Amino acid sequence: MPQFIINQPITTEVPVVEVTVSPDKPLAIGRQRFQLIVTDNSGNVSKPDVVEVIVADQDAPTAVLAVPTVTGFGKSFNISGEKSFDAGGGKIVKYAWTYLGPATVIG
Amino acid sequence: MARFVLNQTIETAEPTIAVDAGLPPGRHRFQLVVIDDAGHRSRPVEAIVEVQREIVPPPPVIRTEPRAGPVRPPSDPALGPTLGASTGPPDAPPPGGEPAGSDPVPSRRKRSRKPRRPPAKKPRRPRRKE
Repeated sequence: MPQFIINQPITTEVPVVEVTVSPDKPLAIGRQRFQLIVTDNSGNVSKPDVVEVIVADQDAPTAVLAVPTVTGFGKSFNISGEKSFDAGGGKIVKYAWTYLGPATVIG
Repeated sequence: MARFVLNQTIETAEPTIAVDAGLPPGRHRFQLVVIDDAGHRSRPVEAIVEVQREIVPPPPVIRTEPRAGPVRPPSDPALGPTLGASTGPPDAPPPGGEPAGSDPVPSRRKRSRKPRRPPAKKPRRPRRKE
């Protein structure tokens, strides 16, 4: 059972791998990304595929915000928190939305 | 529909909210915090929306299939120059001629023979009397 370290690839010959999390080093609450690259018997390498796993808080609810990636100027659009959930069994009763301003471009 | 003001939180009981059409072009950040029935607040999560000016797509390009076989350029000089006449190789046929490769053995034009005239007879000189 491999222990994943950030940006260090693990190579296997089986298509399934368990992400082992030790109690002293748990995955942080929030979104965690994993990448897979496969290689065929001729040595051809695939493009990477990335998935996101949400490590949920067991006490507090988890917010999941869905927005359109691109929208037209002068048009209204919807943003959604429908996929938010409460792993602790509670029910979400309120959604608090905040506009944080323009995103700064880094680099 | 909600008009968002920078850093001012809007609370709703519904999981979806419409953002008013007032944002300038660019990338904009939104944040969501959810609260459960026990009053627990989630960690904030952020997402970015890119507002773009409408891009008018260019008109579609109509492509037609080329005609089968060679096309003879117009031979009438009044119709103007033909394409390729000035860009072809130096040994290319002149405009209006046969397209290269259409006739590997050029046919010679037969000359029409004119009927021969009989040689003109010179008038005889009168003999001198001795």
